[in-house]
Amino acid sequence: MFNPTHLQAAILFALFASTVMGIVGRSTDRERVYYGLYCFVYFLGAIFVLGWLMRLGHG
Amino acid sequence: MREAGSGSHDIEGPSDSPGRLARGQAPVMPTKAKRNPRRSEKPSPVAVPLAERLPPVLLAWLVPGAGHYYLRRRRHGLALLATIAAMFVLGLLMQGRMFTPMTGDMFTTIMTYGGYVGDLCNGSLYFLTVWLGYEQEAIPGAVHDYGTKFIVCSGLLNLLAIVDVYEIASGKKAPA
Repeated sequence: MFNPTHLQAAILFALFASTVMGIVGRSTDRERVYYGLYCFVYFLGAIFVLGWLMRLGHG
Repeated sequence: MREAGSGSHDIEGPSDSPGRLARGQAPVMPTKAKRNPRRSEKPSPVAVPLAERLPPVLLAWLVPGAGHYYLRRRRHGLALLATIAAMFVLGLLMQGRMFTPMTGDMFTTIMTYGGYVGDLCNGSLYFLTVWLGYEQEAIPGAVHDYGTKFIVCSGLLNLLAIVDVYEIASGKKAPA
């Protein structure tokens, strides 16, 4: 059984989702790579910010 | 200036305007085609017949990435297959649960039917897993819940790929 932590599962999800969004979202290979990286960085940013908000909200 | 008695044949305006008709001439009403003759000549945005659009879309649903492969975007097809299949398998390894449609209160109905549709979007991955007897009871714990979400989200990512295949097959998306 695969037993990831919250952070590992969220990063894996970000990786898969940004890969598919990069492939289907743009029309040239260069744009696909940039858009995939852009999505991945924003996913990571959201994970970081929301993680800290939940941490601070719980006290 | 307007002459007395000539008003019955005027369309409107003063008598020296170009809209004035000669005596006995019937007014001709403009038709829509004459107003905008190009409108009827404009080609339909979807010119590709349905019989050519349907096979890649069905392939994309049944096997993730196969629609792109069929449309000669082989690298993209293989990358989509690897990504979506990996997400699905990781969901199974986390002992994620497949949704079964249930009716009840509105929240339950939306959640279970939505999850079921998301599972179905995995195509053959879902059918193969169910056929091989995978059945997971609801287990409390975050990891199992992540597994359930991974399985549904892999189906939704495949749905994105299906829409992309449809746009490529319809000619709405520029060739690579």
